[in-house]
Order: sequence, then structure tokens, then C-alpha cells
Amino acid sequence: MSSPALARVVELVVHRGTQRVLDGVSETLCQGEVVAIMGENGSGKTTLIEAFAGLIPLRSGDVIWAENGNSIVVRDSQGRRNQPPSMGLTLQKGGVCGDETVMERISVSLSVAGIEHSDDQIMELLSLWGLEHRANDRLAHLSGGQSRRVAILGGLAPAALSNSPLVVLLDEPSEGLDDSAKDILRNWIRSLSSRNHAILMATHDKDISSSADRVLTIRDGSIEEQIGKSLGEICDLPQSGERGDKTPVSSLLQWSVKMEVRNPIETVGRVTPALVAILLSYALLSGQDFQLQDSRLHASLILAPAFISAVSSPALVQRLSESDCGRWWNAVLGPIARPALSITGASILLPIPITYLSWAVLSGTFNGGEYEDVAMWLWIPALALMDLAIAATALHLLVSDLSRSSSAPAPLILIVLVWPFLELTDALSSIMDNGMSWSLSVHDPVVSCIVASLISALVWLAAVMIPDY
Amino acid sequence: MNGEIEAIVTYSILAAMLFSYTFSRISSLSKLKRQIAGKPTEDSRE
Amino acid sequence: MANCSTLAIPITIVGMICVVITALLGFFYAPLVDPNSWNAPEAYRILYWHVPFAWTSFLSFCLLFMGASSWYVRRSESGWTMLVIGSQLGLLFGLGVIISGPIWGSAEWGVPWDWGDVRLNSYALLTSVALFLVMSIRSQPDGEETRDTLAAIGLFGFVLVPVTAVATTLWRNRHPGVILRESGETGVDLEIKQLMGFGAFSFFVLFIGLVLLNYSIYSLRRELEEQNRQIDKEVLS
Repeated sequence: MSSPALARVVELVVHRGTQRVLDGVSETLCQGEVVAIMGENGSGKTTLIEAFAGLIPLRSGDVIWAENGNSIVVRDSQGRRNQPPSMGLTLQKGGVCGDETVMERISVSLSVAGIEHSDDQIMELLSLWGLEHRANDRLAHLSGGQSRRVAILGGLAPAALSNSPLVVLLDEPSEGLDDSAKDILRNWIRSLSSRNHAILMATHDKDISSSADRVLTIRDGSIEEQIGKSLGEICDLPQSGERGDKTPVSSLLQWSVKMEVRNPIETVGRVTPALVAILLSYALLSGQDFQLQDSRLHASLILAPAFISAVSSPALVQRLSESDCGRWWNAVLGPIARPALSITGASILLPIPITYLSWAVLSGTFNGGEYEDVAMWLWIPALALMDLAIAATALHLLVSDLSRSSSAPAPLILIVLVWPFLELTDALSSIMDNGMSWSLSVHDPVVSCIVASLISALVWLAAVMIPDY
Repeated sequence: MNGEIEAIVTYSILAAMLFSYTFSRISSLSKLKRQIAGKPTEDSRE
Repeated sequence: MANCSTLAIPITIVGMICVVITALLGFFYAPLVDPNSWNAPEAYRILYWHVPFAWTSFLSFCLLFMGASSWYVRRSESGWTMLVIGSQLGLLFGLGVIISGPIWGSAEWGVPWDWGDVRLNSYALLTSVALFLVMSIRSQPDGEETRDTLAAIGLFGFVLVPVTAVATTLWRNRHPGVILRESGETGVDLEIKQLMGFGAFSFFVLFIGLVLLNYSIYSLRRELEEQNRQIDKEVLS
């Protein structure tokens, strides 16, 4: 084909365990092309789609996309990874979170791709797929078929509203669709192709693959190519709009906040153990004579509830594990996925209020009146707990990369965070005994807090950088 | 207290760990060898 | 490979016998330390296994680290094998260190754990990483991405060793207290040194035997898996 290439893979070799799934595969996706990938179960269809999206580690080869005439290496076998250009992506499991509404799902797909849009445009898209009456329903409340329509529309919408050619990757798009939805899908595929978008889809459905210009069959790691039938009718699509700047990180942040406001499992999940810890400590300390105890015990009990809330598993991990939602974000964010997710998923708002609450409840049990000035400086060690929370989230995300992450004992690699906690206990204890000091010797609270933050930062760096090297 | 009991307890725990691990590995190896030797080949299945 | 499998069991058994001899010598041959300067003079005999356990776990963690690096940089299958074996042996011997150390510490100094002891804390950290790897390797499906994640966690564990060392040193500066001695520096008797040397040799032989044993098991499992895959294909066709 003479059309410009939008994406290509060069000499890809991908393994699954010791088995070679793709063996030296090279393919180019050009503007206006519809390409179907077919093959038996386990032949590598999904692997090829996800390799194009930059999700799969490569034994050798490169994945290269084009944007504005420039080539971007989305992934190579040396560990290099870059954020791919705007694309539409529908994964086999959907890549959606059950707490999202239909409207939000489409909006997020468009924002991440940098497509400016209005609610009216989204409603128009939904109406074309028979979903406008479900716009404000949560995906978890839809039927399987409706949820699948939303996931597919989320993959097609960026191309539908884009005025420049995009790549659309669809993995088993017809799975879960009824015949009328399949017709809509086939016609949309041909219509998007007529607007110069490139569509690559993995499918075993002959009705859908009949809309392809080329059919690739994967067998024993290699590809055999045949000419496709290019069937399907061109239908009316909404007017395309302007492309703005991609805002993946702010889209992620807004998405996280919305999910949490709608279903505050993160807040409840972190605050509950913290409150239990405060009340337990209060029950144990009341009526005890702690005149002879040093302030380290008190300091550790004050900080323990916030520490517990910081290291608890973030709700974001559960949300991302639903229907490969995390994988979708990973694909569209590229290498900034891990750092961005570790910060958005961390409990950075809770350490300070929980620490002050803990102080308010517990200080009465150990003559807190002697430590009058402590409340003025309590925010300093509590601030360092925010760094610890971000490091803990990065570790939880590292473990969640495993396909059966619920079977992996995450607390074992969180043990290292005891060190920052001990440093902060020392800092608070020093403030309680000697008042606040701003000097910089090893025994001073500021240094202890800095050391705690540095340890947390090093742990965070290791957890976000090593896996994506 | 001269620590004799602690020494005996420690050696017992460590010995139990070492022996049980080593013998479980040896028996795994023997079992695998038997499994591979006894696996049906194409010819024998036909 | 056939040589590995043939030699593995005899070397392991020789290692075990030598290790048992070390223990018996430690109890019945090694000299008693001065009861006036030791709180629990008999408990010092723990040394003859505790220290070789520490050295062997150090070798295992090195194997783990080399394997993780090798897989990560070159996707080498032998690197992955080293990681799997290193994590198992690191867990076994590391657990031995963090069980025997506190028992001895309790008996001798009344302190089961010293947050100011760099080695004890580092061993505890690496052992917990090894436990994580062993459990995850068993529960996760084998695949490129799983291996990448676990190798990353293995490397992550090693980045934490200097972090732990610095944090421990700072803690000790602030809280100089009881120091839990773990090395074999407790005496200078020739017999003690000889026995420590024999213990080191015994555990080294056992380590080699266990590495060969695990390598053989791993190779045979892959062979069995390949046979099963062949049968899968025959069934489908």
C-alpha cells in the first residue's frame, strides 16, 4: 500500500515462558487500512495487538509509530519505552472499571487521546450505539453485552472524533455482541477506514474479519497474509473535532478522584484500620502509669495509625485489576504510568489529619500537657508520611503487575518501610523531649524526617524505575 | 542458665529445616526421573 | 545435564554428613568459653551453624542477584534458573540466620533483635524478599511479564541492602545500645577456628549439592513440560 504508515512492528520476537509466540514478525499498518488477525486459541493474536500497543516486553524487535511525520519507538527489546501517539484501544477484557459511568468512559478515552469534545458529542456517539439512555449508569450495572458495547465505543470514539488519522486497536471486538451490534461495528470499521484511520483487530469472528482489507493468520509464530473482503457499509459518523494537547496524567487524576468520590473504598479502607489503631492504643494506655516510659513509645503510638493507613493496599490497585483496566491505562500512559499511578493512588491527604486525630485522642493518656508545643510541629513528621505512602503505593503496584497478584504476599516487600517509620518516631520523640530544633545534626528531628523521606524516595524510585528499565 | 537448651533448640530447628528441605528435593528429583522415564512416547501410544 | 543429575545427590549427601559432623563437633569437641565472661556459655555453640548459615545465605543471595540481573539484562534462561534456585536457598539459609540469631541474642544478651545491627536487618530484609519470590514463583503462571516483574523485585531487594545499611547505621548512632554480635569473632582458639573452617567447607559442599539438585529438578521439569505440550498438540490434531 502506498498510504503512509501509522504503526509498524519490526522483527518481533515474543516469548511466553519458554515458548516462542511471535517469531520475527514484521507488519505495517497504513492509513485507511483495516487488518484482521486470526488464528487458533493461544496462537498470539492478543499478543500481537498488545505488542503494537507497547504493552508486551520484547525478546527482540521494535514497535514504531508515526506522529506528525516523526517516528516514535514505542517499545524495543533494549527496554526503551515511549508514550504512544493518540490511539483507540479496546482490550479483550474491556479495560474498564465498574465504577465508571458510560459517559465518563467515553470522555476519558477522548481526553487521554487529546480529542476535544462536548457532552453533546458523546451523547451522539452513544445514540449511534443504542446507549444514550444509559449515559449516567455505572458500567457495573450494565449487562455484559452493553458493557462490551461501551468498551468498544471507547476504542472507536477517539478515531470517530479525530480530524487526523489514528490507529485503532481492537482485541476480539465482537465477543459478547449481538448481531445488530456486530453490524454497527462492521460499518463503523469501514467508515473509520474511509476517514484514513487504521484499524487492527484480533478476531476469530468471520463476520467481522470480512470487513478487513487484509487478513493475517498467525501459525507457529509466523504470519500468513491473505487479501480480505472489505465488506461493510459506510455510515454517518459524528463530525470530527479539533485535536488538543494530550492530557493523560490529569485525565488519570480526575478519573481517580471521581472513582473515589463515587465509591470511597480507598478512604474507608485506610481510615478504618487507623481509627481502630487509635482506639486500641487509647484503651491500652488509659489508666496506665507511663511516667517511666520514654517518649519513643508515645511517638510510635501517635504515628502508627497514619503509618498503617499509608501502607494499606490502595483501592486503585483493585480498580485497575478489574477487567484489565490497569493494562489500558498502562498502554495509553506509556512509561509514565507507574510513577503517575503511584502518586494518584497514594493516600497523601490522610497522614496529617490522622496524625493530629491520634495526638488529640492519645495525648491525654500520657500527660500530653507536658508536650504543649508538639501539636505545632506534628505536621512535619506527618508530611514525611506522605512520601512513605507514595512509596508503599509504588510497591503495591509492583506486586499488582503479577497476573495473580492476589496470591502474592505484598507485605513481605513492604517491610523496608519500617525504617522510615522508625526515623519518624525518633523525630517526633525528639520534638516531644527537646522541643522543635532546626539544626542539622544526626540527632535532630529535621534530619530524621529528611532521612525518612529520602528512604521513601529511594524505595519509590527503585519500585518505579527497575520494572520499566 | 548456661544456654544449653537454647543451643539444642536452635540446632533442632535448623536441622529439621535442612533435612526436610534436602530430602524433599531428593525425592522430587527421583519422582521426576521416574515420570519422564515412564511418559508414553508417540510409538508406544500408537 | 546428565552429569549434574548424577552428581547432585551424592554431593548433597556428603554435604549433609559433613554438616552433621560439624554440629556434633560443635557440641562435643569445641572448647567451652569462659563462663565468667559469658552469660550463656553453652549457647555460643550455636555459632558453628549460625555463621555458616549466614555465609551460605550470602552465597544464595548472590546467586539470586546474579540471576535477576542476567534475566533482566539478557533474558537468559539460565539467569532465570539461577534466580529460582537462589531465592529458594536464600529463603532456607536466611531463615536459619534470623531464627538462630535472635535465640542466641536472647540467651546471651537478653535482646532478641537489634535494630542497630546491619547484617541481621539486611538478612531479614533479603529473606523476606526471597520468601516473596518463592511464593510468587509457585503461584503465578510462568511468562515473560511474570519473570520480568519477579526479577525486578529481586533487583529491588538488592537496592534496599545499602538503604538498610545506612538507615541501620544512623539508628545505631542515635541509639547505641546492646550490639548483637554475629560473626565468629568471639574467640581466637585454634580449635574454634578449625571447627569454623570445617563448618564453612561442609556448608559450601551442601550448597553446591543443593544448587545441582535444584538445577536438575528444574531441567527435568522443563523436559516434562515440553513432553506435555507435545501431547497437547497431538490431542488437538
